[in-house]
Amino acid sequence: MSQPPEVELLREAGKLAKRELMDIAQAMYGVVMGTDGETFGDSQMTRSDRILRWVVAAQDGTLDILRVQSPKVYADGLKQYQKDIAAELEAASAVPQPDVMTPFGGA
Amino acid sequence: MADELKMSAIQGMLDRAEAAFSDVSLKARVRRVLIARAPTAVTDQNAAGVNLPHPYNTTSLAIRTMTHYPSQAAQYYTSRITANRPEVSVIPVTQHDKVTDTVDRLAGEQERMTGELLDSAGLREFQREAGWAMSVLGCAFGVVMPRDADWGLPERQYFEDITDAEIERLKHEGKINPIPARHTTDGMPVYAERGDVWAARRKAAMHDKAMSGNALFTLRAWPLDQCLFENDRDSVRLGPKWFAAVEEVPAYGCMEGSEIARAAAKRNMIHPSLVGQYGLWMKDGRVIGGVSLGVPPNSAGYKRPEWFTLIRFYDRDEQIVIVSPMGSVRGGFEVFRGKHGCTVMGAPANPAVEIPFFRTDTRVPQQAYSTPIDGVMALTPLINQLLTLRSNAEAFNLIPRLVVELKDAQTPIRGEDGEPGAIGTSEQVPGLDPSQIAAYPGTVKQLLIDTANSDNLLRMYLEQMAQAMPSPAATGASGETTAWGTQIAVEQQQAILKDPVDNFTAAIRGVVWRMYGWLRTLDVPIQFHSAPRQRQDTRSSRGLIEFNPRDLADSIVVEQDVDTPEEATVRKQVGLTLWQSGAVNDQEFAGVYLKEQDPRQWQINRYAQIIVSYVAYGAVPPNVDPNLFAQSMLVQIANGVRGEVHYDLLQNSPNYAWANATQQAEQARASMQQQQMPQEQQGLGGGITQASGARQPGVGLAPTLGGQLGAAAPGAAGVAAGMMR
Repeated sequence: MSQPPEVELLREAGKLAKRELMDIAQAMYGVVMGTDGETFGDSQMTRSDRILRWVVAAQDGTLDILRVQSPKVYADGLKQYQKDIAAELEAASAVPQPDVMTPFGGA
Repeated sequence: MADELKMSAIQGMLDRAEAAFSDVSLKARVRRVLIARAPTAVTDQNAAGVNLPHPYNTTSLAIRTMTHYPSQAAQYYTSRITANRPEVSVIPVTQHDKVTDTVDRLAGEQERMTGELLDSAGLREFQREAGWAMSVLGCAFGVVMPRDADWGLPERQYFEDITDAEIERLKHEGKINPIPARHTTDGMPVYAERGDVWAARRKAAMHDKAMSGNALFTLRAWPLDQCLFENDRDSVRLGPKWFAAVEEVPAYGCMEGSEIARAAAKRNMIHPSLVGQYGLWMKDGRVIGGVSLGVPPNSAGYKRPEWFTLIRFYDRDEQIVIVSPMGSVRGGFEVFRGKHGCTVMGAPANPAVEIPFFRTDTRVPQQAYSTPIDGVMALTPLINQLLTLRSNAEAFNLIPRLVVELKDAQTPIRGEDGEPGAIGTSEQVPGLDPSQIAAYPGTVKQLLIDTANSDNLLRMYLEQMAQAMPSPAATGASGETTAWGTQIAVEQQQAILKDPVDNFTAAIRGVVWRMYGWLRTLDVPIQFHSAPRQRQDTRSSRGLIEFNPRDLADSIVVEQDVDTPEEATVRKQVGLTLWQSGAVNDQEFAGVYLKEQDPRQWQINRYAQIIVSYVAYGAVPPNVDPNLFAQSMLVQIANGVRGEVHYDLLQNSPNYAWANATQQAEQARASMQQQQMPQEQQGLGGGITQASGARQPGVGLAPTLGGQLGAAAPGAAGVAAGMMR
């Protein structure tokens, strides 16, 4: 059923306004916060920053909210966290371990 | 070719047209002299009106006056035609009553592409030149042609004289067709490049051209006095039956090695080794082409003049370039001939389009067009002549020529020649030396030229000229104090400009149709950058856009405003008053007074702007009661939009999602902490009063004295912060 012209007009205005606002909001969040979520003026987040944020977010309940409200963002974050952890473990294993068989430490 | 137009036939057409257009050419010459105000370029029969009779023609004191009216009027009408650029709108044609997004998008892209094609072909320069010729001579012609016969796109490659191994390799790589396209005269196979490979190369070449900003078309304006043409009944749609643009070119442009000479050599099948030595000459009143064998120029009957006449001849099939002797269309020499391929909706057309100011009811060349400048041009020589004579009379009167008139009104007569005895020729002029007093036998009188009659006549002509010139309202000096009064004067003046602007937009539509015809023939996706101009949606105009000529729609409308900026201001002001008083609705205000191309879209944009401002920073539209606005339907929609934006951002913006989740987690923690706070800090009624918003007395004050006094409390330093709530 076709709508009255004025309602149709408002519906289109609403759609246009939403597009404009999305652009504005995304641009604002893009400028004020970088791609990794760091606030403007902060340095780029390092791998350990990201891990730390994930752990803190898990403790303070942020992650629970994120998982419900923004499942895709949560899934992406989880993947990134797992990657970061794996990379961290790999880096740790690459460091030469002291030789416990000798009383004077590593070679 | 059998159906080629013979040179003798072309010559006959040009001869006939030149005779018919001779008056046009004389009128144009006079008008140019009047506009340029060049008193030395005196025309035959005193057409400019600056002659002085003998013996005054030798004086250097009289100023041959040429008024500024013609140039002022020409500038005015030209600027009105060029004030606004023509805008092309594509009307989507569908089989349904709704326009689909794809059709709408294609229409938008076609509009942008057309704008770019016109801009890169020099639309604005064309508009100025054509506008001047329309204003001054009553008509201009525009000629549109592809810049290059096939825009420099690569030809199809043919492979011959290659080994069997190379043929196999090319076949294997998919670069040539497996079957030979033809065989050479000695039976060797010739393989053609595969169609898709060729098409890909053409597309890549088009991309490179678009990136470098090369124009695909040329657009040139020709004033009426440089045009010869004949029309038939199809001319309105397909252009003149034939059209020739005539111009004088320096002879060195036709010398050996020049582009014209090379084209002539090619046309006359000169051996490639001699093409560079081939040039154009005059012999027995005709232009001929040939290779000099060392004879010095201007000997043995061969001459090289300073100028040639270059004629570009177009019918609905061919373009022919002819070089003829200076100032003539006879004795020409054909230097180039080729099919131009110009079409309008599939029908062969002439690349020339007619752009009249006013078209009259006859097709006789000198009477076929009219312009409001005609009246100015008719009065100008009369005023020039009177002012020139007046200048002479004033110069005469300012130099004392004195005579003595006796009491009986007789003037002493010189004995030797019987002329009145003038003082000053042989003796001191009375009054020139104040220390001397001369005695004369009668009254000393100055000989004066009486200008009373001519002054009256001049006044009458100047009044007529004031009527013939553009209205004062149009030049921003209406004397009206109200927008309404000015609007009436503006409307009257604009009525004159309706025809020429309509004619110009019709010509541009013809030009665009012709461009589309060539693009369809070319059959390569057109790549282009949008023309730089103010756009509502700048995001969609960036980057390279590709358009397939198969999607071109011929249903186009070209529109152009006739307003100057001042007139637009007046119109908008009138509309605003009506709109604010509720006398016109939004649609009418946008369409009639703001001249929005799409009033509906204007309304949508306006509502969208209100919603965006309200949601983004809580702004209420001006002149609206904030309380009433809060109850409006727009606010309901705005709140809905706010919600939609929020949920969309949660899914699409990781930063927003994180920020929101963090904030909510903090709120949850704060809420939990608040629940664990001691009871004495809550309202007197405990949980109930807190829930209802009731507060304890002394609201806002810290619960401790130290906290209330802050730094003023004795011994507060170091502990105040800890006591603050």
